[in-house]
Amino acid sequence: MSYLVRRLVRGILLLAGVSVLCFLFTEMAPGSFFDEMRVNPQISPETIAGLRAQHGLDQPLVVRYGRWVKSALHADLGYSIAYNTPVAPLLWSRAKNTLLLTLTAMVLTWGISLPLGLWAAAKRGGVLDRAITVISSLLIAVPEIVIALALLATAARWRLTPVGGMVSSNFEELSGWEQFRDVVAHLTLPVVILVLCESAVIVRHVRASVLEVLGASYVQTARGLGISRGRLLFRHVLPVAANPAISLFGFSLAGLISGSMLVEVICGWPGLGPLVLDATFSRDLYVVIGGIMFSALFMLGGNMVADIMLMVSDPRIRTGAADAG
Amino acid sequence: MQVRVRCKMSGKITWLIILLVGLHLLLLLAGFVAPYDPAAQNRELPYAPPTRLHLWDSSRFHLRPFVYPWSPVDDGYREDRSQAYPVHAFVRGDSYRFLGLFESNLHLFGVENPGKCLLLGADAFGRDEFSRVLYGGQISVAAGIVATAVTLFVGSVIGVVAGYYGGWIDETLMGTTELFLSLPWLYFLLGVRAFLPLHVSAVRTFFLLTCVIGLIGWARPARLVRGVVLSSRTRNYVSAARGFGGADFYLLRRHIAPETFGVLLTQAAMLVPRYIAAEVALSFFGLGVNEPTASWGNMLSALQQYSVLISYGWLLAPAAALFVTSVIYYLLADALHSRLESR
Amino acid sequence: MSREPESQNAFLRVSGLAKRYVRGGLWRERVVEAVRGVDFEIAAGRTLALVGESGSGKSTVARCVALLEKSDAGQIWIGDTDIASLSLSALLPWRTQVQMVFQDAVTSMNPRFTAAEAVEEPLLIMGKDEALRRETVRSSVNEVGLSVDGIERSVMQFSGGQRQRLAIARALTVRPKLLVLDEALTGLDLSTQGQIANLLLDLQAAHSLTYLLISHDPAVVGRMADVIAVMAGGRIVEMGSTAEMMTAPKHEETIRLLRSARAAQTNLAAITGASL
Repeated sequence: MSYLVRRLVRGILLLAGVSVLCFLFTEMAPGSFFDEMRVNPQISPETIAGLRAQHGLDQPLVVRYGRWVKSALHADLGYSIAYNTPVAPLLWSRAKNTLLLTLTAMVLTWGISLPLGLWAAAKRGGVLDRAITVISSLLIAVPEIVIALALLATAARWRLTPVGGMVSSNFEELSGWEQFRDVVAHLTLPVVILVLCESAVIVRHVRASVLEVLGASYVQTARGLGISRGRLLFRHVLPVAANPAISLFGFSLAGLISGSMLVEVICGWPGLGPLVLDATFSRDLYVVIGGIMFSALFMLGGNMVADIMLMVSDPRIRTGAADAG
Repeated sequence: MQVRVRCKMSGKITWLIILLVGLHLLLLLAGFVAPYDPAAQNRELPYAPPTRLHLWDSSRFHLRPFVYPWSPVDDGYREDRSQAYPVHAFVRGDSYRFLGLFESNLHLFGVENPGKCLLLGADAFGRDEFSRVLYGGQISVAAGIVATAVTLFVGSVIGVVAGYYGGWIDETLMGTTELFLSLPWLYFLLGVRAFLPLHVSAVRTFFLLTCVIGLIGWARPARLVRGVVLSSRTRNYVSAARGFGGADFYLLRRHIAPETFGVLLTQAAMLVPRYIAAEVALSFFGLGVNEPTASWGNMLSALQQYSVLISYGWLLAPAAALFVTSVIYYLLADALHSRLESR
Repeated sequence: MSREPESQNAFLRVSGLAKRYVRGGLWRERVVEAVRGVDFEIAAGRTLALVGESGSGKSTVARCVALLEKSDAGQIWIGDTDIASLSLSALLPWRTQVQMVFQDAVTSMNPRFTAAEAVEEPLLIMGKDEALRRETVRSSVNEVGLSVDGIERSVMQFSGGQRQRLAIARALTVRPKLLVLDEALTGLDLSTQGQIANLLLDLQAAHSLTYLLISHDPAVVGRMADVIAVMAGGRIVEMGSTAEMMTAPKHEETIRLLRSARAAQTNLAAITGASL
């Protein structure tokens, strides 16, 4: 248990670190939301100064950070200047869409990569193994933006899936089942892009860790004893190979969340990504900070899940032996 | 210190390096290779498709390829077969600064005015996409390389300090790397970009951008370098050299730094394409290098309109260029990595 | 300053040497007392062997004496100076007096270096000019019985025994008075071991070198040492002349360690045809 508590404390420290970094960067920022306003001759400098004071932007960094932390503890995460509302509810309405996208992509990614990696390792050197190696190398090598644009162009050109947004314009008129199908249809393209980008890395790691276990002496011994191939893979190899895969799960989340931002903007998915991008243009500082905090929170949440799974699957962590030495 | 190249270069690595050098030369000499100025507009040719190179006209075969000009019709463009423009090598055209050093107007190839040779078509302003891909590549690839240099510099300094001095310095620095590693970098990149001024000159944007991209990614190389330093610090030959009275700086320079070169080289090959892609993404969002300066990212941002994406596929050319660049870099990184592993 | 050294002909006198390591990070600390109060002295031109199991603290003593680590307590006298009390910069001249030869010649030389680079390293650190370095490297390499023709090759191309010779040559470049041989003969095959042992004995005779030999191999110890000190648990549990220790060991640790000594010694003698 103390392991989990330690990880939790570490996670909270990380969040605090991220927020401090964000505020340090705002300090370096030469402009603000109101600078864009200053260009407008119809707004007097006094009005701008008043607005600045109202939002506390004239306060020193420490005071602003203190206020923000207080607001974060009230689950507000500061105040959006452009939308004139607390940041957290605004972000949450979009974050739900991001979660829908990333969670679907994650489930599919793992559902595809685990069996593929295992299969490739089991039939090492076979046609499938080589095909997987080549394709995954290609997918790793090619930047996400290229994959996303290529798939988007293909889908749009041949009308394979609806493109842009999360629902059709006539969404309100559809029945419940049709609404579900409509969302799934819109979800397809961004999910396919994300799965393609993320699964390549995971297939490779799963394959590598299964191969490593297959080479271990106790597996060789078991094989020598004439154990069946299926039993060997599922009883002996998979449980051991699972650990690196679970650790990878936490890391793959970072890629998935960054990737989803890009995909959301390219595919017009109304998630956190486009919101944060707009906030960046309008210099709506607290929305940007909130977006970063949300994404960091997602990642830490995913890492916690990975930690719990690791603890369940790895007796060394349960007993604390892994921490010694 | 005497520098010797003792490693036997494998054939694969040699070929990949030759390819990469060729690619970079192509971009470096963009002014010469590109037939047109990247900012030169042709108002009468918006979204003109790629010019076709012909060898046959109605009567006979020509050894020298020639092109027909596009003439606008209702639903696009049609080749105007009434006049042909042969493609010549080493022609005089728009002037440019050769390697930024001196003025020149000599181009690798081109056709006589008013003919146009648009190898990869034209964008909304009728600008030559081929020329813009080359010029844009200069910006994007340079951004990738500079950002990589920043990352590797910061990463190796921090990694060396953490690995060599250990103790609380190590713990603090590695805690910070964990912080940076656990950030979804694109959000963070956007965030940092949000705090920088939006409208500044292209040169300043370029350097702000590369610094931001570079500063966010230092954590991974720092970890790798720290690992190498940590393991080489305890090597007997380092202890021995310390026993001879070697100071920290001597040990770092002569024994420990050379150990990290392999890792840094592999990291560089991995990071450059990733950082090019980061620049492309940021410029695609409109947060990077702004028009009229071409970069692969801001060229691609035209495709955010789905109608453009569907109808004018040749505008994906920068994505194709990014694809080729990334694959070559990846293969090199892969080859370097496996050589490092096998040692 | 503590008491003056007792016997005037002792080259090295160690008294009350202690060293402990702190392991672990911010959460938990673990203190390992590697050496707790070790006293011995070595007469000039003689060899003292420190024997003991791994973990008995003998290598820590070696590293402290060779100035690779700072001891926590105790004195290390060379002549009238307690080098354990000197600051890092004041130590610099003493580093030429004491040199260490490591167990594993393979790891004690940077694999990126040529033999010449490896051997000249101490001189390079001391800022000697190139001509002098080249001259000294040649004479040292000659002295350890290697040809100077091959010294531009990578150290990786030398065999284990040759590399151990290079390591000795490297130590000799600064004309030391005391060599700390930390398991310097371990891991070599028997005949090579014998050759290196002979070389070391020849060098000792030629330059009146003092040796501190760290080993767990009774054969090597019996062959080279004048005095044997047995270490266990960070302390010296028994010390005496080689003859005494070999024939009438008292402490159980000594008996255990030296049990097979005589048989092995005859082995070694048979192989090398030793005359000493």
